[in-house]
Amino acid sequence: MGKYIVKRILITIPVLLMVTVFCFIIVNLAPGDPTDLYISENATEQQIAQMRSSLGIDQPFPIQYFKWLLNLVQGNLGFSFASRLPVIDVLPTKIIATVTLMASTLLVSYLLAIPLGIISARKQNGFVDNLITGVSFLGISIPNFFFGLALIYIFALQLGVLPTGGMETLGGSGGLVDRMQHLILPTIVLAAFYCSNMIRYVRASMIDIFAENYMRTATAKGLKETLILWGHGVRNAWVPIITVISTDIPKMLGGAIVTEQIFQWPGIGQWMISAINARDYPVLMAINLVAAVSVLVFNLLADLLYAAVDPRIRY
Amino acid sequence: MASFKKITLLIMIMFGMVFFLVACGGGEGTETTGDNDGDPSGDITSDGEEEDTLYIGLTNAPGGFNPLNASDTVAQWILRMLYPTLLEQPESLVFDGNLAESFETEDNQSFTITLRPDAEWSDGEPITADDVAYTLELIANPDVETTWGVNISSLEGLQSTGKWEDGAAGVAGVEVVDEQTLILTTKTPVDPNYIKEMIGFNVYIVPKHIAEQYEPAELANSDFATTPSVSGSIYQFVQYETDAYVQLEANPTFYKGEAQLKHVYLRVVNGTSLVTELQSGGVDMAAGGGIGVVPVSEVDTLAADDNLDFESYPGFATQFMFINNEEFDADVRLAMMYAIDREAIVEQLFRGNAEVLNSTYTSASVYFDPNVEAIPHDVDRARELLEESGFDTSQEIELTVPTGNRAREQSASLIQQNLAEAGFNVTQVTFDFVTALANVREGDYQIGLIGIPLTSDPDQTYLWSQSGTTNLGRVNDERMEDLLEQGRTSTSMEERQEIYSELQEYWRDQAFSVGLYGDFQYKVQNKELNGGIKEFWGGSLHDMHEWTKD
Repeated sequence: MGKYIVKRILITIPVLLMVTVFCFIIVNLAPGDPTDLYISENATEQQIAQMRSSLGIDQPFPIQYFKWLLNLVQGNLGFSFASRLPVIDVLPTKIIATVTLMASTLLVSYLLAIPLGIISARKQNGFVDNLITGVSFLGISIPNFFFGLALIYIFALQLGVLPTGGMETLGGSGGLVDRMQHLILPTIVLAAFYCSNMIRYVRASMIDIFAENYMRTATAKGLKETLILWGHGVRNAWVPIITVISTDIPKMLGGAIVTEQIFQWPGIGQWMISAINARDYPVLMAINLVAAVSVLVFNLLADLLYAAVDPRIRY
Repeated sequence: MASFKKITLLIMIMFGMVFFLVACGGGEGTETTGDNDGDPSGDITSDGEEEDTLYIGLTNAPGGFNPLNASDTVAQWILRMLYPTLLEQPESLVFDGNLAESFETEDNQSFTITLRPDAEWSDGEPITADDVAYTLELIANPDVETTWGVNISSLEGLQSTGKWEDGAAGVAGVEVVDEQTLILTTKTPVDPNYIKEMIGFNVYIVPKHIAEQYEPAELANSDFATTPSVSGSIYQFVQYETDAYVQLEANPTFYKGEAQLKHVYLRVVNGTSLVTELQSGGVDMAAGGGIGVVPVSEVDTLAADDNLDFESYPGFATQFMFINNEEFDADVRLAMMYAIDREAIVEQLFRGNAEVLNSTYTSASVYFDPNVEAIPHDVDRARELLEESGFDTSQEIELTVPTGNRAREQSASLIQQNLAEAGFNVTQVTFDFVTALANVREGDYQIGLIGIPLTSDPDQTYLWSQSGTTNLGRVNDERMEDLLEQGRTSTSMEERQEIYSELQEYWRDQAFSVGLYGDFQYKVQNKELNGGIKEFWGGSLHDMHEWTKD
C-alpha cells in the first residue's frame, strides 16, 4: 500500500507540471492585455511599458513560465496584478471560505441523500419513492441563481431572519452563531443540487444490490433486516458512492462560482471570476493549481478508500 | 454493524470540520491588515450593526491602495478617505481649501500654496510642505510607477510624461519656502483651475517619513501600496479582505475633526446583491459614480422603497460608439449619427435616467454648451449622406460589443437595427470587455461600443488627438489638434469655454464618434444616513467627517 501511494504521488508530479504548462498557455492566449485595465485613459506609452515590466509580462512566455515555476518551487505564487498583494497571502483565506461552504454542503447533502436514497430504493415505485425522486429532479433542475435569489427574497428581505450574504456580519459581534447564519442559505442552494444528485446514485446502486443473490440468501437465513441492509446492502454500495464523492468535491471548487457570487461568499469561485475579468494571470494560475491538486488528491483518496471498503480490492 | 459505526464516525468528523472551519474562517487574522487596531467598539443595535458604522456598497473591488499609482476609480475614492489632497472640489471646478489653506497665483504661472499649520499624520508627525514636495518628486521620478505623471507634467523641469529629464534629480518647478509654504511654477501660464484640479484635487499627498523607507522603484509592489499604515485624511486603513470588503476607522488626528461615523466598511457586491443589500439595510448607501452602480432595471423598485432616498443626476460617465476614422470618412460617420435613434435608447433602456450625448461633454460639465444643437434622428438624411459619399452599402460592418454592461449590450441591437434602416449592413461581434477594449485600442475594429469616464477638466487630448493614448477612433484631424492645443494652453475659464464650444460643434459636424448617452448616476441611500453622495460625485467626500446616522 505504501509503495502504491508513493508511486501515485510520483505520477502526479509530471501530470501537475503538464497542467500548469497547459494552463499558462491558455491563460496567456486569452486576448486582451492586462495593462489596459490597470492604466488610466491618459497614460503615456512610457507608463504602459513601466507597468508591463513591473508586472513581468514584458518577457517571452517561456521565460515568464519558468520564472513562475521557479517561484512556485520556493513557495511564491507571485503577486496579484489587480491588488498587488502576494497571492500566497490571499489564497488561504479564499480556500478556507470555499472549503467551509463545501464541507457544510457535503455534510447536509450526504446526510440526507444516503438515507433517502436507500428508502427510495427499498420502496421502489411506491409513493415515497416517487416523491423523493420527484423532489430530487426538482433539486437538479432548478437553476441555483434563481433558487438563491428566491431564498434571499423570502428569508432575508421578507422574513428578515437570515442575512443576504457575506460570511459574517461586518462590525457586529461576530461569533459562531453569526457565521452559521450566513452559511445556511448558500448551503441550502448548493445542497439542493448535490443531495438530489446523490439520491439518484444511491437509489440506483441500492436497487441493483437488493436484486443480488447474496441479499436473498441473507434474508432466507433469517437475519435481521437492519443487519441485511447495513452489513450486506449499504456496504456493497460504497464503491459507486465514493466515486461520486471524489468527483463531487473538486467539482465544488469550481461549481460554487454562481452561489458564491449570489451570496457574496468570499471564496475561490468569486475570486476566480474577478481574476478572469481582470486578466490576473498569477491568481488564475494559483487557482488552477489548487483545482488540479484537489482533483489528483481526491482521486488518490478514492482509490485508497475503495480498498478500505472492499476487501477484494488490493494494491 | 461495523459500517454503521464508521458512518457515524465519518459524520462526526465532518461536523467537527465544519465547526472548525466556520470558527476559524472569515474573521480577523487571515486578511491583509494595516498597523491599526481594528477592534470595533460602540453601541451594537439589535441586528448586530453599529450606529456609528457606515456600510457602503461597491460593485468593483479596489486595485490596491497605492496613492501614487491608482488607475481605478474605486481605489481613488478610498484613497481620498486615507490621504489628504491640497484642495476639495465640492462642485465641479469650484475649489475649497483642504490641506492647503490657500492656493493663489497672480500670473497663472507661479502658484503659492500655504498649508494648514495644525495638520498631522495619524502617527502624530506634522504634515508639511516637505511631504507635498516629496510626493511631487516621487511622481516625477522615472523609477516610480505612477498614474499621476500627466497631472504634474505642466510643472517646470518636467517632460510631457511628467517625469524629469535624464540626469535631473528633482522638480525645478517645486520650491519649498518653509514648513507651511511652497511655490509651484509651470512651464507656461495655465488656467488656475487646471492646476487646482490636476494637482490640488487629484494628487494625494503621501507621508515622506514613511514613503522614503522604500526604494522608489519598489513602491508599487510594496506594503506601502497594499496596506497603508499611516493616514492623513478622514479614516485610517484597518484591513482589506480581497474582493470582499475594506475596513476603515476614524483618524483621530484628522485636521478637520474626527469623523462622527467611527467605522466604515466598503463591501464589494454585484449589482443585484447591492439592490438586496440596500433593501435589507445590509449597506447604508451605494457608492455610485460608476463604482457602486445599481442595475437600471431595479431603479423603479429602489425609488419606491420607503426606507431609501433615491435621486439621479447627470454625471461624467459616457458611452460612445467609436468609429474607426481610418475606415470611414466624415459623411459616412455623420450618416451613422443621423441613423441612430439615441432618444429611443435613453427612453427604452434607461427610462429617462440618462441623457443623449450631443457632444463630447455631458451636461454635468461646466464646459458643456447647450447651444450646440444635437444631430436629430433622421433616416432620410442618413440615406442621402450615404448616397453622396458613394459608400458601398453591401460592405459588411462589424459592431464590436463588449459584454458586462447589460444596457450597452441591449443598445447594440437597437443600433444595429437603426443602421440597417439607413442602409448599412451591420453584424454584431461580442467579446468580453478586455478583449473588446484590446481590439479597439489596436484599431482592429470598425465600429464599437465603449464607455469613457470623463473628467471635470475639459481637455480631451487623450481621446481625440493623434498622440492621445485613448484615441480609440484613430482620429487624425488638423483642426481638431489645433482646437485641443488652444484649449490646453488657454489660461482663463471664459476663453476656454469659447474654445471648447467651438470644439463641440466641430466634433459633432465631423462625427469623429457617435456620442450615445451619458448615464445618470444614482444616489441611493438609507434615509437614516445624513450625508452621502453629492450631485458632483467626485466631491462627495468633502464633508464625510460630518456624516451621521440617526
